[in-house]
Amino acid sequence: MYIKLNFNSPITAKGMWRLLTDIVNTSSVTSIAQLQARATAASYNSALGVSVLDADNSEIIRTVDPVNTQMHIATPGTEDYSWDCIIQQRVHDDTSTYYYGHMESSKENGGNDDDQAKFNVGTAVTVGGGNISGQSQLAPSVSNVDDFRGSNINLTGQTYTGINWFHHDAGGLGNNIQSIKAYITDECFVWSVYGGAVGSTGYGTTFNSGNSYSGLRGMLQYRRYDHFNNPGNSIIPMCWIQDMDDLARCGFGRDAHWNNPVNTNSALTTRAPFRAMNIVNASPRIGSTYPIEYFPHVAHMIGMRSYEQQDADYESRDGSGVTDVSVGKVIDSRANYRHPSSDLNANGYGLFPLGWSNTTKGNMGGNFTDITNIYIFNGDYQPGDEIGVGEKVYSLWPGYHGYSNRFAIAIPKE
Amino acid sequence: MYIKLVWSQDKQIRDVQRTVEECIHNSAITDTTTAETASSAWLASIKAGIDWDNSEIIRTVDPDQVETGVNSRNGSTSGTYHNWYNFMLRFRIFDDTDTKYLIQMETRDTNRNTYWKMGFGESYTANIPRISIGQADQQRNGSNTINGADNNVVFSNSVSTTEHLYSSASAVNIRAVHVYITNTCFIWHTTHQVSTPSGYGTTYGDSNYHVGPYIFSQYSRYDHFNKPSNGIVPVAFNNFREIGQGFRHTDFERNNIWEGSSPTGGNVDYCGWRMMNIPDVYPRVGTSYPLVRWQRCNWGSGVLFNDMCDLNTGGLGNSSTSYPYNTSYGHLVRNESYYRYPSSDLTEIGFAMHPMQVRASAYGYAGGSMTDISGFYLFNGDYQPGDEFTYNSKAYHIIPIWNGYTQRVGVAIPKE
Repeated sequence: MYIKLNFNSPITAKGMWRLLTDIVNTSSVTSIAQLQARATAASYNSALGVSVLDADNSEIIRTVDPVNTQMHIATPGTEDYSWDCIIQQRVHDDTSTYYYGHMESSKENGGNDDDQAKFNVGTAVTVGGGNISGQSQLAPSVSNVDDFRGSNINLTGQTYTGINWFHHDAGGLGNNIQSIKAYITDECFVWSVYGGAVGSTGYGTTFNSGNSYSGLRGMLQYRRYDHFNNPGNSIIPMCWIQDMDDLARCGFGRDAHWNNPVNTNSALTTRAPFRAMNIVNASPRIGSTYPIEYFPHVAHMIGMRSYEQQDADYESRDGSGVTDVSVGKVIDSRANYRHPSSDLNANGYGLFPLGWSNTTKGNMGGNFTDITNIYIFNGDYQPGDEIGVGEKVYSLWPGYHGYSNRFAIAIPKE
Repeated sequence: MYIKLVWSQDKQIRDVQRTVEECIHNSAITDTTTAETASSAWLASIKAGIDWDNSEIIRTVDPDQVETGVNSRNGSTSGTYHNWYNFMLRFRIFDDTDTKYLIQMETRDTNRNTYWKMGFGESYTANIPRISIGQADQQRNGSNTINGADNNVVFSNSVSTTEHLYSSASAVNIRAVHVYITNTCFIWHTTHQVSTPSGYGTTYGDSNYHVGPYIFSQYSRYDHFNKPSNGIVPVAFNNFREIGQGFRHTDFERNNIWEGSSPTGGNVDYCGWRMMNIPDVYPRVGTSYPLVRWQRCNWGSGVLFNDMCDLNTGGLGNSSTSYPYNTSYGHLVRNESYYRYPSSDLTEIGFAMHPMQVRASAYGYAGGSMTDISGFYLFNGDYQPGDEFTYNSKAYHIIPIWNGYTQRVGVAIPKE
């Protein structure tokens, strides 16, 4: 399910999560027209933003319906800054196992108005596991400050609490969202938001600013590579884009994510863009204990390059000795450098599978693209450009630092 | 097809070639019983000394698309050329059966020094010449020349060894051969001087006793531009290096392997693998992506390849909080004693079976998997040469690398 929503005036993050929750949970919303019909039928409150929706430049496609995905929205406090939004998804090859993403802002804990939003994950919830949408929710008809709060659902089991996502203070992204993009299937949930004036594509001109752009965020399942990575060992094949300690609001696609390797052996775990829900520490060893570790940071992989070894924009091709590294760039940030077409007669762009590895813990990892159809794009583009590959149309979402590096995340419109 | 032949006496390379070729060529030979029966028609000097009790032939997977032949290259019974023989295997590409390539093992001088030769881009379309195993030595089949060469099938693109596969000494004292041949791969290994039931001796790292294993395999195509219409022949093979050395320990190590696919530097003799041809698809300004022939390349498994990783020591990054952007990677194989891998349910310890992949990333070429196409794996764990085990209901035999088994790595070939 592909969602692009542009707004003529800003909405809040709380309104955004309320709107996305109702769209996901309402299977009849298959287009913008159907969204508008739903807004009328359900008496949407203006906080959800449909009243200021730029319908001509918005789009909903529900060709691939996330029928096994549920969302739940509640509010712990009667402020614009407090919400608890849970998304429940199940494992593609282990359909009795669920995992949860938790988008929350914790005003109820006595924080200030500029409390930062967090993205958390967990293996279970306290209420309604398997059927969270059936629990009492904050209705779309009430205002953001209504006192009806809905069932209080919290993460439990193995849980990871994020650091922060975006700010609500003056000028903060949390109060200033003018475009939402989301791609939701039963195997992934990713989104990005843009704050401030946007064009028809849903992007403005400012990147590399946490008050303007946050993306890509979310959770992605992967195809399992390792023989020990299986449901019998309770491995949940999902990685998420974590809040990072030094630039939490960025999401995936800051320059460091393209141009720096990832030290999976470092104790500083909050610089890698991805964490895995859990993995087996399967590094060969003396002994017979291979523990399961929760929430390790992992290295992403673009095409044939794992960021454990080098970044994908790295090259060393002129080895003059037999011990020299000899590798080329997988992705190329240089202007006018092109990848070949499949018949080698023309040049074009690169479209590379995205995956992860953590070989320091003996994991070859997995492939996100095989399960989610999300690719990494490399070539000249403008944010929001669309390309057709095979029988699919992809929307190009820039990374946090924008498009001038020629890297993007290609999202299927389906 | 799996072939293990043990002899109780020294054999010349031409006898080994003719015996193996006959076993492949004659589809009625499906085990040692049928082979022994068929051997009644073999030249006495060829079949002399075969230890049928300790030999084994399995033809569950028939290499029925492979054309074979052994021929005396000159037909001379004496003089300069009387030991010149060609052992030839002509394969078809798994997804492009009109395209063929040839593997030759040539004995090309008086001392029986023997070399590998590879070719593709065939200009010779007739059956490759072969002499019957009942024909006397030095007889030949066919004209003196094929396409102007000395009884050689000629391809428009070929590459030959500069180093011997067999020297004058090792070409006359072969005691065992192990072969794995399918329609997509050929693996060759011999031992010398000493006969044992397993077909393996006790001396390794010495080509007077142990030659190979040499691996020639097709691989799956990973890249969207890697397809028959672009003229790409997806075949990789062990580089032709020092005498008798096939797949060897230095292929795993930091030294002597990293230069891999560098287009400008390196030493071609050190690299462990080559590919028949690849497109140079490195991102560029311009639209020309030429094919490169006989490109040396790198190998590895999963995400660990020897174009940037030493495969047996790992390279952990600094564990402190100050180095979040160090490179860091684990071991593909462990050479130390007692290091074990987990079973799939994590309750037991065991060995590793790594798929073997090739690539040339300096050219932007992701390559493919030999294991996907040909079924052999890299084994890592404690073993003795010739050990066999069952893995996913299939029996495997472990051929040691040239340096032997103490490195705890070998090539696991299916017995089928």
